[in-house]
Amino acid sequence: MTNGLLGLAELPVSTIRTLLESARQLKAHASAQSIPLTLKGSTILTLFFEPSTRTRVSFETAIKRLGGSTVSMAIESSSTKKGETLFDTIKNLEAMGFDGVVVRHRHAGVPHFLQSHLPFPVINAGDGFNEHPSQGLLDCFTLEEHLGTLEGKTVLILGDIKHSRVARSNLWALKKLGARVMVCGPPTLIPPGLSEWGVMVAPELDAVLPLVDAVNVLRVQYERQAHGYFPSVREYRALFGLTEDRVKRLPSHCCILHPGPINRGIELDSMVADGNRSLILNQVTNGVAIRMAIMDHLINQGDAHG
Amino acid sequence: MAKLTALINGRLLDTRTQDISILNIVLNDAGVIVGLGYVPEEDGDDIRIIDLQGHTIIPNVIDSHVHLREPGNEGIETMASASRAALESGITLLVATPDTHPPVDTPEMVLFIHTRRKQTAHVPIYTLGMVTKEGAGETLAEMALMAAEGAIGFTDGHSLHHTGLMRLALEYCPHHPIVVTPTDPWLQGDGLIADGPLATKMGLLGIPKEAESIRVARDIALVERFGGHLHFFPITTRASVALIRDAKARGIPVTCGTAPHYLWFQDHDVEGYQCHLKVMPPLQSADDIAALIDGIQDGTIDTIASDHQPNTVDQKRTDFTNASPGISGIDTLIPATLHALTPRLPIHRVMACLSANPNRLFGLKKQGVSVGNSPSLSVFNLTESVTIRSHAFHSMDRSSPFDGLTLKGKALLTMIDGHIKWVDSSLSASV
Repeated sequence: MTNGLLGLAELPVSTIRTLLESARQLKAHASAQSIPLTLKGSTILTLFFEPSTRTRVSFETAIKRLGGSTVSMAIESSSTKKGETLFDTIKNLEAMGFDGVVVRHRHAGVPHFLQSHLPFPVINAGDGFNEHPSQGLLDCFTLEEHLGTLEGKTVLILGDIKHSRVARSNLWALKKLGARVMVCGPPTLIPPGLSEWGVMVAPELDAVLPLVDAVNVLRVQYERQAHGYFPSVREYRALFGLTEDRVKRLPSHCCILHPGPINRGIELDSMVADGNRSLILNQVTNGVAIRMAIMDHLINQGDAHG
Repeated sequence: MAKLTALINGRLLDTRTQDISILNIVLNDAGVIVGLGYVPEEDGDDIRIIDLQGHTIIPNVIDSHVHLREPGNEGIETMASASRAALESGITLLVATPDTHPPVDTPEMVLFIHTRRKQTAHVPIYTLGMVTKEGAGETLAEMALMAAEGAIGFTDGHSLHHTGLMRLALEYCPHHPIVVTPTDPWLQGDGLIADGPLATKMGLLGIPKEAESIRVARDIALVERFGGHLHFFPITTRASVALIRDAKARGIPVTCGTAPHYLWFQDHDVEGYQCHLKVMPPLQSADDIAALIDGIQDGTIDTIASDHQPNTVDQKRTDFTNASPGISGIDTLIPATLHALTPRLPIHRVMACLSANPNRLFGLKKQGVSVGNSPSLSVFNLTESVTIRSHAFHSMDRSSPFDGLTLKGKALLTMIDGHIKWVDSSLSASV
């Protein structure tokens, strides 16, 4: 079967290492304006069943910088509006003959379903609460850039872990790269079983702040409040917001990540988002490099670039 | 046509007395048993002799919980196709749930089901009626009139969320079982699989086991106080088994059943988004399976039924969230049950869950194997293994998580009301 990138949970650490190293080289090439056009002649479809701007633009930029072309298809949550099944959509894509497809869908497992029916690689750009592997990789890449290594470092993922594909992809990659992972958030938004993977659940934020080397702050989804997971945004910020005051408790080397888009003044204070600990824009820059590495690796898998 | 039919060398299993007797059954052309234990001397035009070769005869094997799609979704399953699957599996009767389109919530609909099955079905089909109108959980349906037309019990699927209405249903309908799938919808939420590390890993919301056991506990309390007879189906967790065991010990009229897939497959089998194992309630852990088997052994669990929920290819050939829950189960009910439970449990205990117990539960007056009766019975080779090939199913849903598994327990002959309706080729060849 063709191998796409469906998630980081199953990805061998050697492949993660290869991708991070490749991204490092591509980033250097990019600043020297000498990117090898390894995707020349390839056409990649970006298939978004869920609205997204930055991830799609980041993938399209990465593909184009490698000389590939992209076709973009946005399907407002379902082409099933016209009664077409996902299976039929896939068979149509297969018939059109792309070299790869980047897919986002609000249901976990959709990329896996696509991959089981397509002869070209499927790249998961976010499936429900499951995974967002390119985000996980770019976060690790950014952290390694800043911290040197993740081995033995403690990364705190802060917020809604239960409904977060970013949290999951980070968790799998961070553990594989030797980091210690700690999570903190409203108890209603901490999913079961995290201890099985050696993840520490911090009962209270302030106590753990001095212990961490990085904080990855997740976006607050307002619909979670509507479903009763927490009573108010005000209370969320009071307990779990990374405020200016809280940042003072972090070790001086500790950096801050956020997958965006930010709710300023809620999960992250503006001064923190724009402050000198923030690597948020580095993440965006690195996202292109990581996605170049992913596309190059998958589309050219088996040849010299593999 | 022969005037007499003789089934010789069969081992009749009485699931109540546990007696096994080798016997010959002679029936006349009206399907009435005229003799037991002797073989007429003349072997010729006047008698058809079928040598059962020591295989096991079990009376009144039924599948006591099947979702038919007729009326309303005849493209998915019909009474004809489902009952054909039953016939060639050694199942002599189906109990259908009322969740058709339109639903069976009036005496007229019960009459329709019974009329239609007489026209098209290969085995008798009895139907349950809805507890509430349209199954909407708001007002009681005409249960007494439906019962008068032949409905043998009632169900809305899940137990009524409105506790007050559940009380009224139990009080109103004391003489027929109300069948409920115990599920608290709020705890279930948008969950798709069992709650736990795997749900976290797969990025799916989990359903806590307590979504089931809380309802079991509530409904036991209601029956204890307000009467009625409640049958929980399917139950899947250790806690539910324990609650029902305790309730039975206290003499509360509750019964329960489970389905073979809950004995075979575990929560982690859905890893990789296995749509063919998407079922509701979800698959549970090995510990729960062990508790279910204990429950069958000690009689806490009364029935095993397929919970047949046929789907189209397209309803399963999609992503896990979109995929319809349920499996096609009639074709595999017998071998999946036998293989899972024997020889760990005695055969009479297992077969009681497929025959005597559900017949008693639904008040089905079935004739035994004795002179003057016209029994329904089936013959099984309990030790022969068959490899499940779902593409050969008689159900219109030809997909199955059991596909490719080799299971022991093969149906050889099905007799309905004294008439042989199906004989496996291996047996007919020896006639």
